[in-house]
Amino acid sequence: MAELSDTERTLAPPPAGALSVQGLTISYDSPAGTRELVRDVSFDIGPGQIVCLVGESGSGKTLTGRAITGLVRHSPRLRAEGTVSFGGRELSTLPERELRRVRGGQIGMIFQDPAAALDPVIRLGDQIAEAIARHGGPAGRDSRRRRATELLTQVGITDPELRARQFPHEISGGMCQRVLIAIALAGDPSLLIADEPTTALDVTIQAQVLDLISQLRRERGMSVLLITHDMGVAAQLADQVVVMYAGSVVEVAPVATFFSRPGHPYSAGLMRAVPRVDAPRARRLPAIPGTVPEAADRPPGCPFQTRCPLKLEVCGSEQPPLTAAGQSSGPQHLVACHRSAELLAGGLTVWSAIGATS
Amino acid sequence: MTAGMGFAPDGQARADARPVVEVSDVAKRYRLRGGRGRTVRALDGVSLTVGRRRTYGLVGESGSGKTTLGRVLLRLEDPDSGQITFDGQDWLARRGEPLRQARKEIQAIFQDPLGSLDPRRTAGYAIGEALAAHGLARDKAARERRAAELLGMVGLPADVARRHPAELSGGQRQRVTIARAIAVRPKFVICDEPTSALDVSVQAQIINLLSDLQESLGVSYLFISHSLATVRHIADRVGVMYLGKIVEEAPADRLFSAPQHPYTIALLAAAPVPDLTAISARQNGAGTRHLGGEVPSATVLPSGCRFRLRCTRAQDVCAEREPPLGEVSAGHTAACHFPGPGPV
Repeated sequence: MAELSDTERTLAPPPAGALSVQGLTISYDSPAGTRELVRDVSFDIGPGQIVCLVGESGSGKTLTGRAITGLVRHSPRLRAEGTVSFGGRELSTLPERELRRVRGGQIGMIFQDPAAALDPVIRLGDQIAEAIARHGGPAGRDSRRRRATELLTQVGITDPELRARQFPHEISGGMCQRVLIAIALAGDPSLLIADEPTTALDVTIQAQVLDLISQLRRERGMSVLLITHDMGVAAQLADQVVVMYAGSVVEVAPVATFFSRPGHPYSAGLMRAVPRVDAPRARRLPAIPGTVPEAADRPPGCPFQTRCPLKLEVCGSEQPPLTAAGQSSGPQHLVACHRSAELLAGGLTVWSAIGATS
Repeated sequence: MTAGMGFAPDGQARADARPVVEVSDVAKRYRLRGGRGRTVRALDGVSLTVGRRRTYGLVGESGSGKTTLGRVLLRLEDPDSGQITFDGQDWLARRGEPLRQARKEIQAIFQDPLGSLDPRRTAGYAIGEALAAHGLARDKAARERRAAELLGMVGLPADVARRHPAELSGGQRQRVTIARAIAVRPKFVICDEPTSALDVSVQAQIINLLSDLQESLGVSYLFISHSLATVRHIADRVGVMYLGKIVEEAPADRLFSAPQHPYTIALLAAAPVPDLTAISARQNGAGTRHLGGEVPSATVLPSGCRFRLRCTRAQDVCAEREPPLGEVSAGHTAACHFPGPGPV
């Protein structure tokens, strides 16, 4: 949208780190017509808040994360519509030159495969120093080096001077991810976008990295958008959960509400399908039948209808809007399901009938 | 669905109470390239027994040696020492033609089905090829008939036979590799992270399929995974590996309800649980203390217990002597000087 004028900005200083995504749609043209990979996605992140964007492959969660910092602009076939407002600035219309300062600056980013994101032939310390220089850090090689060492200490790396002289192949995957977090912190971000940051890591190392993200949020008041397929990670870290399915947001809720009263049949099914260390062995795991439809095969109406045990006729024609789930849940609980009110009122058992099928 | 399979008749299965696989004290070292004679101890004296129609779950983080053990069982690698018995016979003594013929008895499914299927060949061809290689179908028509039957057994429509891997979803592809594995009627299937690359909603489908096939075909599994949660839902017996050694082993129920080794306890605590208990623990500030440090390099193991550098129970004795895998209760062993429940 239109940029705020300078007076407006001083009158109401928007909180740093706050992000608002409204009506984000990402599409491409194929010979068979326009395909929407992400459809009308809206959500907000408050300052200092951790929002987990949860979804399976093909849900559009990664594209959504990339679109926030304008990265889909680099894909010539993709078209992004909608608005992204960050700290009061509209990012979607920002010229690329300015956006580049935001990206890696006020918005830090880390990804799934830490080893691939580091340059294999440059020492770790120099990679951090480069990020410091790029984002207007202290002048002079020595002070940048000192700052790099400081950042390594902040992300929990012991013996930072030694590590700064090492190359990526000399350190473990967990440590690579810590170095990438240090690089993201070099621009002093008020928002960190982390796309599956622990998926490639061992479980004990994953726990350490999640602890680190949560500690950085606490200490720096940084907001976090954590993109994950793992419900357990969301339960451990999120203040707010946003669930995506086949390109659409199907549920938004505060974390405790989400796990106690999921309002969408997909959320409820996914929660049950996760094998858990603390549940006794069941003869069968309650799977959700079928698979996520490809962008080209998405049916009209509700994207989940092909796998949903509660499907009605209306689900095949009308995509349910994301609306307040019902009086019992409060205004912050949004669900896109024609039957969420019934579901949350407790009148429906979604999955018990399905539990026995594969 | 097994009717007409002519496979593992019940009478025979009951009579045959011997374990399918017995691994005893197997060791495998790799010499490091340019490592001046340094070696990695990938397997450092591993023993385990897989019962007939049973699933042994082998859990460990990267570098623990779990995949190497799978490769040794497949005879893709030969161990430096130790014995392996398969179906009562010395498995390592087989060479040449007898080994080639016996290979169909042990099949494998891997994490990435796209990597184990030829992108230019249809699913039907992949299955037919396995049948032909072991002389299990006389002609093309017989192969096609059998391939359709096998696809049905893994829950796929028969027309999948005409499709290429790129035209299938990840879950469908993994079903095809499972169909190919069971096509040759193996007694034992090594499942190395078969669900790790799949979406959560599909993982559960594959676990259920593997359980069903075990019931109908009487096959035994070695289920290798980094995920304790997944193993909990399929394994009868579980071994936890750390740096080339099994550090705890027990019937699955025991291992999860009463873990004894601090590493097992830490692994269980680190697994994120998707429910309210995790949230309330966090909000009360009672977050779990997670295991610090990283897995040390397998080239320079610490003296004594290999876990001691990350262990809060470590005492002087742990640096002096390596704890043997000792029995803590019937059928439950742990390699720790101070085994027991409780936080680490």
